[in-house]
Amino acid sequence: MIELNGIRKLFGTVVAANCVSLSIPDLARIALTGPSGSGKTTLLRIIAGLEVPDEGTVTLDGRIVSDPGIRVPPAERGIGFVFQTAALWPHMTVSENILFALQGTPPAEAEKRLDGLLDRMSATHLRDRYPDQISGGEARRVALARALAPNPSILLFDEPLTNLDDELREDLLTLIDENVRASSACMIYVTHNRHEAAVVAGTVLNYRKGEILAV
Amino acid sequence: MAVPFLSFSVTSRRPGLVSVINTIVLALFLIIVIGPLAGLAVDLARLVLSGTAPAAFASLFSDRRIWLLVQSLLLAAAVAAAGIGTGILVATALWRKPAGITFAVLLMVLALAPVPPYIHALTWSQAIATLNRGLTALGSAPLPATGWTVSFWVEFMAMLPVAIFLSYIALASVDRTLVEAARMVRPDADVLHAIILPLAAPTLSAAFGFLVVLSCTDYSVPSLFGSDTYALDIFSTYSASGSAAGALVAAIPLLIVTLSVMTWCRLGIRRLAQTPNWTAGSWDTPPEFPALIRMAQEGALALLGIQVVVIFMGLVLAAGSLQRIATTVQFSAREIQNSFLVVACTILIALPLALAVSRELLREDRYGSLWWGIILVPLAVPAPLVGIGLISLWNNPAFSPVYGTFLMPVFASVCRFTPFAAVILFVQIRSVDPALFDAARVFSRDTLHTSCRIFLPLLAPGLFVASAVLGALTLGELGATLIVTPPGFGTLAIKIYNYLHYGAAPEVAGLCLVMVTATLLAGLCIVTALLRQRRTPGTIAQISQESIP
Repeated sequence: MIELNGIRKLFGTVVAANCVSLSIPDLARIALTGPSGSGKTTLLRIIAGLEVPDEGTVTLDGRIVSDPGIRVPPAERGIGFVFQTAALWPHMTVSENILFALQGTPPAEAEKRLDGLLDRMSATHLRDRYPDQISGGEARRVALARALAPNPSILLFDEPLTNLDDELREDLLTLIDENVRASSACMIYVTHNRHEAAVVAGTVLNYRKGEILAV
Repeated sequence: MAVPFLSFSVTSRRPGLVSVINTIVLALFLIIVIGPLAGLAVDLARLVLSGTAPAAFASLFSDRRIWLLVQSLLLAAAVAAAGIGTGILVATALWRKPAGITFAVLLMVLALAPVPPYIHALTWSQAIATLNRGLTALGSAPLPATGWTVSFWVEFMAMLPVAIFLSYIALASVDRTLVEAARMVRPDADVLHAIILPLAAPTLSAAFGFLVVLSCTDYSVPSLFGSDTYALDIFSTYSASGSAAGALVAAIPLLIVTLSVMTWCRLGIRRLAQTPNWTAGSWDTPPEFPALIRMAQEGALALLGIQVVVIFMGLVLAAGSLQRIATTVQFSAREIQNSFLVVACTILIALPLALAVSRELLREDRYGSLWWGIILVPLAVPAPLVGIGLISLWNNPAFSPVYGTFLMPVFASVCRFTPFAAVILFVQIRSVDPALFDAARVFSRDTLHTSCRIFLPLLAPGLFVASAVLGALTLGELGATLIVTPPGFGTLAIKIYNYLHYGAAPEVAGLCLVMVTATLLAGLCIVTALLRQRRTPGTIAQISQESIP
């Protein structure tokens, strides 16, 4: 469960979040749409712990992770994040990229989970390849696998299908939809694209000038 | 200076003329920058043909020479390793500091980077003497005032600003999204160890190699602290024999090492220059590190603080009253005037050469790689050898109007520092949206007007930074200037170096203050230009050589 209470964030005079309050229950799938520069990504990064709000409280699964006196590091928030780019570490193979997110898991169990994820993403053959040896679409699959690897209770997607052709976009959209439904995570999916929002989300929120306008 | 811009003015109409002008400028670069080394090679060929080469080569393998080389390389490697280690700690410590502190530290680092090592030697010898007086009063054994340990320490502190700056940009060049992706799943210490450092490794290695070369080609610090190094031996060999070819033979082992290191660093340096985001802003949520790492980071920052205090306090205290400084400056007015004349001429000659070369550096083909190799050669050559090569090239009846004039120290600085300016301009061109250049070419009516209104402003920050860097480095240049300066033409650097040997402390300190103030101003110019650059909206893209003037 994600609870935002009075979140405010300014960049100079630009308002990225203007007293945003929102409660997203477990298993909910939310899409956040809106024009460029409206602050969607900033809100996602505040939830992830990559940005600090000027005011307000972020509570995840009943635990306060961000308020004026508390700041829980991103890695301790139980969040899976898929970025606009695949953001795969170029010095690690596909399997190492995914295993890096499975710290603390016993090796045998981590290997089993890795196999399962690669199988689900139809990426078993990519296991020992480096990011520069796979295609853009394959890299997005691996990024999704990495986000799902630690079984997060929250999944955040920041325009994950940007710069992909239509066919690939549809394939990956289906893959994301299937995997999010199969997981027990709640999801926020940031996009410009209304079609993407309609496919993956149960609820679509419109975000403009740092405010949620319509539900 | 206007040649490359004028070359644009005819781009669309007479491409043949552009090529001719460009070729002439590149040829001038090769003559002035690479020519001295080619001159030495010719001398060496003569030596071989005369049959006296075997004796010169045999001396290379003497126990003394081999041991000297090993000692010099060990000293340089230790200085570079300590510098990069401290640089990484300072750079990561700055992630957690407010933007104002980061700005102040970077300003100080950039201002101190061009301060010549012999000024560090002066201030540290004073600091050690003061410390030893205190230790003796307390009944403790004094610290060594000469030898390898103190040479290492002073060389390390002299290189520290450069090391910190290079480490900072190497770490900042790591794609921030990759770091954030890792921060989502692992603690920050793990992210530093498993993601940031491995991704920055190629550029950090290049920085390490560059510091090794800088350190092992500098002889001023070790010589002032009683340690013989290989670079000093080259100078001594030339002073004793007057043979340029003999000096080149003596330098061969060091040249093999430095050229190999620069070749090894080439890709890293190129990558560092091509990386777009090294002026990226601060972290919104700075990484959290364990207490032990934080302590080491604060210790590294304290080292930088000590260096700043030692250099400024040391010079101010030693220089005495303002009146005394004024008298010293008045007494050295001619040398100061000469130095600024050399600086101005160096900038005027080096900038157009650098601009032409930076255009070649943009090429993605083998020719581009060749130019990257060429510009790194002068950086790998010890300064005395550059001076000897200049004499070898210009001491010719055909060049009598040049040889024995103030142009010789100018050429020495152009030869040594133009590659820096070329890399800076390369970075500047890469940071401008290529569409801006293309748009100017499309809409150009009055091409001279367009050059002044579009290209000059777009490249202005780079030209400004390159001028400041050239000025600061030229002001302190000693190794080559000492050899080529004509009789009766003293520079500030030479006067300081001579004073250092005679022990005239207040006069030296006063002159050093003048030089440090000038480099501080240059540093301020650089930081101002970089900040201005950060406010300029530009995208980084693959820019083609054809897109620019």
